[in-house]
Amino acid sequence: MKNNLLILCCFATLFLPSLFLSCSEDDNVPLDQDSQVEQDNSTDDQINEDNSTTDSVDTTGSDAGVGEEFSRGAMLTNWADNIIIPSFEKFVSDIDSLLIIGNQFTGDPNQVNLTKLRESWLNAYLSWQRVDMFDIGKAEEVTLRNYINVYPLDSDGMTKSLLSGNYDLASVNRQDEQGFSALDYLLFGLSEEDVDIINYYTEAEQGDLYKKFLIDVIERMQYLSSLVLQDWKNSYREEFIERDGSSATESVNSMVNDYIYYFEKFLRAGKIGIPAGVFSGSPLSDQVEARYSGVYSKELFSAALNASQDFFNGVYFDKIDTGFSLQSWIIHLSDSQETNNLDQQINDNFDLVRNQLDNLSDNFETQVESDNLSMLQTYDMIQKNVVLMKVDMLQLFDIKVDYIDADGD
Amino acid sequence: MSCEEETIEVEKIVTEIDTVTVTITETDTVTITDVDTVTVTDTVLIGFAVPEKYLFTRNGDTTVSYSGQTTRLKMAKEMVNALKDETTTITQLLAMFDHQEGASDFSDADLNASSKQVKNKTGNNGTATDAAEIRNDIESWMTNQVDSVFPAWTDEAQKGLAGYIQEAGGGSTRYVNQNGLENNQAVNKALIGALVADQVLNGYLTPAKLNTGTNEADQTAGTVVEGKSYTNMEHYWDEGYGYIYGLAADGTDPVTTPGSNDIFMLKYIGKVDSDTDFSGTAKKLFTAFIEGRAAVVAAEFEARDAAAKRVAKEASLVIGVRAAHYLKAGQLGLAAATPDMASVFHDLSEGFGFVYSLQFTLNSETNAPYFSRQEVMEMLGKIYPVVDGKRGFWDVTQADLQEAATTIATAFGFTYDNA
Repeated sequence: MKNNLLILCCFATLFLPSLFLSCSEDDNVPLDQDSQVEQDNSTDDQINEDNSTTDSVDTTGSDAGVGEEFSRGAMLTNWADNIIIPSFEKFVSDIDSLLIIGNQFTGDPNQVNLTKLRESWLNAYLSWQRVDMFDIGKAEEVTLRNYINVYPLDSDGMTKSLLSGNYDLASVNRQDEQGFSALDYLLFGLSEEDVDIINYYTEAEQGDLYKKFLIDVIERMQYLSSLVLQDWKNSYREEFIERDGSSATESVNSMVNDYIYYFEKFLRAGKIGIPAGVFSGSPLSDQVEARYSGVYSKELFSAALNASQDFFNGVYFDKIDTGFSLQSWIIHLSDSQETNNLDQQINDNFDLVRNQLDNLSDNFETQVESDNLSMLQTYDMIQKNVVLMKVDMLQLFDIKVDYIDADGD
Repeated sequence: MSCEEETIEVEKIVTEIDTVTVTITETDTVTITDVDTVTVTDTVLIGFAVPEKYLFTRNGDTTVSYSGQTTRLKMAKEMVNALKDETTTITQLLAMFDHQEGASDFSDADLNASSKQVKNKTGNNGTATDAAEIRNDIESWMTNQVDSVFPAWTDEAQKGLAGYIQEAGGGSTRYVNQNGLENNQAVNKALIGALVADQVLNGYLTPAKLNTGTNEADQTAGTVVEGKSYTNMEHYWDEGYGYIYGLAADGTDPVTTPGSNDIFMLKYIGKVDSDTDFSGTAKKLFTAFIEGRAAVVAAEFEARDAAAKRVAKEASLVIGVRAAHYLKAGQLGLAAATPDMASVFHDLSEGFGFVYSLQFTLNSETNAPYFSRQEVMEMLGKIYPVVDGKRGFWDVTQADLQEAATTIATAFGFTYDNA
């Protein structure tokens, strides 16, 4: 942790101006949920927003704070400054640590360094769960997710590439041979016993190839994630907040679609539905996230679930404060139309899923094999929120779903 | 009974007025009322009974039979699937295309025993010269698959080199030729036109075919084919029907129960129908078939031909929509900051086959295809350029894709946005 902080500070100095900007805004926004609801109810002049055509209320969005009415711009500002950028900062800092510790391990492959590297990997993997949903801007442009966390790993293809010593990790063909799942395999899956895993890196003939590949994978993760963070800080934050209109290509519509797409495809289907066999008829237990280490699949899911709910509620990264969010937008709209307490329904359902985790093993692979019914029940609970958000919430917001399911052939 | 009644065409004009009220409140309240008028023109045929399902009987026996079409669709499907197995030889593929009764070309013994063949029903409703060229096109894609793609099955595809290429995010692996084309897709989608649409629109449902010999008199008199329960004309109509619906899970009700066996026209009728811009297409096509068949039974030949024109319109539209759709999908894929080339190649390979199929469509107003063979080949040259050192889908431009898709959309009366 000390290590992480140190690196975060070093990194942050590179971006001092923008950091000051976001810090000063942080100071403006300590709104808790209750006072926010009051705000929303007390101000009913100005905006009678019929969201089907108007460009919403433009309050330029740069100073969301106490006394302010909900607006798209204010919500975008909260998302960018209090959630997205701090989450990416933490992720990049964890990846920076991962590279340092990775180099320690390849410099001296032993049990202590292997254990440290595994901890660092898990740390970064958990941080990833807080940024995975932000597939917008540079992340979308470079298809960050496709290089960071594709699973299941093509372990045969990866090994072939690794042993050839000649591979292009930027190639789309190699997307299922890198990222966290490749590291999961390289740190946990090469063999049953740790001593045998370490042997892969010390072995005379191929050890250097394993070392090189391990570092190449981490360096690529670092390169791409830094690129995304820098872009947010250099220019994308402004663009993101300025595009505060209500049309399909503006930030709110894009981000909400990205969020629900993530929730549906990666949290619901990827982490639970596919291993539980929802889409294949029979369970595919070996397709869980982080299958080689085994015991982290629930923890990773739990982190993703919390990140999703926190985003919904506008909770600041790593803090309990909240700002304008999908939740406060629903509450704002409840002044003028029936919302059936949709915000509460969604939050209740998030909580139900979280409680359900008590019934699941830490290792989803063994959970699927021993008691898949509990996995299917978990899926059904998540699915309820997919419907509440994708149908009810989007209807309330007058946002159209901008993605369709793939052809399937 | 119904023979003596006249066919009456009634034009039903349905006018729907959609009123949308939008209220924008700034300082004052401004109310904008936007009135949109939608006119739907529908032709309703009256004069003979039309069943709900594709069920027709004579003296208690069914008169519907299209087993030969089902057999050919199954043969074509096995052939297409064999193109994805890198151990298949060209001899095997050509034999599947040119099946001879009793030869062990297929995994299904019933297909081996059959006297039916795919090749002799491929593109055979135009000139003999065109038919030879069309069959040669299909065989050349199969040959290219075996000669170039199969040997490179484990190589990474590159511009100018065949091989595999994987879709983003650990997605499907596609196998493409040196120019980015999936030959299996080209064959599959080309057969939707060359086998299915051609047989239906330019073969069985044309007055020339339906009225062969003494068919009209036989139909009026109810004279059946010797040893069968159906007349010649009824059977011809059903054979046309069978090319589209022969692999449906329920052939009497293929709109509700299409199943998932078909990989040719029926599959894409479903895809077009599920696009809100074209919803209802599946029902319209089926309704045209069933009304036309009822008209045949009633010996109402004008009504029959009117129904055949509607079949031609809807079936052609399916090909047009999918052709434009896949070209547009490819264009959008290329526009991405990090293009997923395997997905782009896959879309464009499907698009290639559908564009090829446009030459077998039928515009019943002009009695010609929506695009002639020559126009199709010119369009393929643009979306799959292989002259002047160009490498097909590796080098196609977004502008050329958009232009081709727009040209297709315009010909069928829809837009690039709809595709």
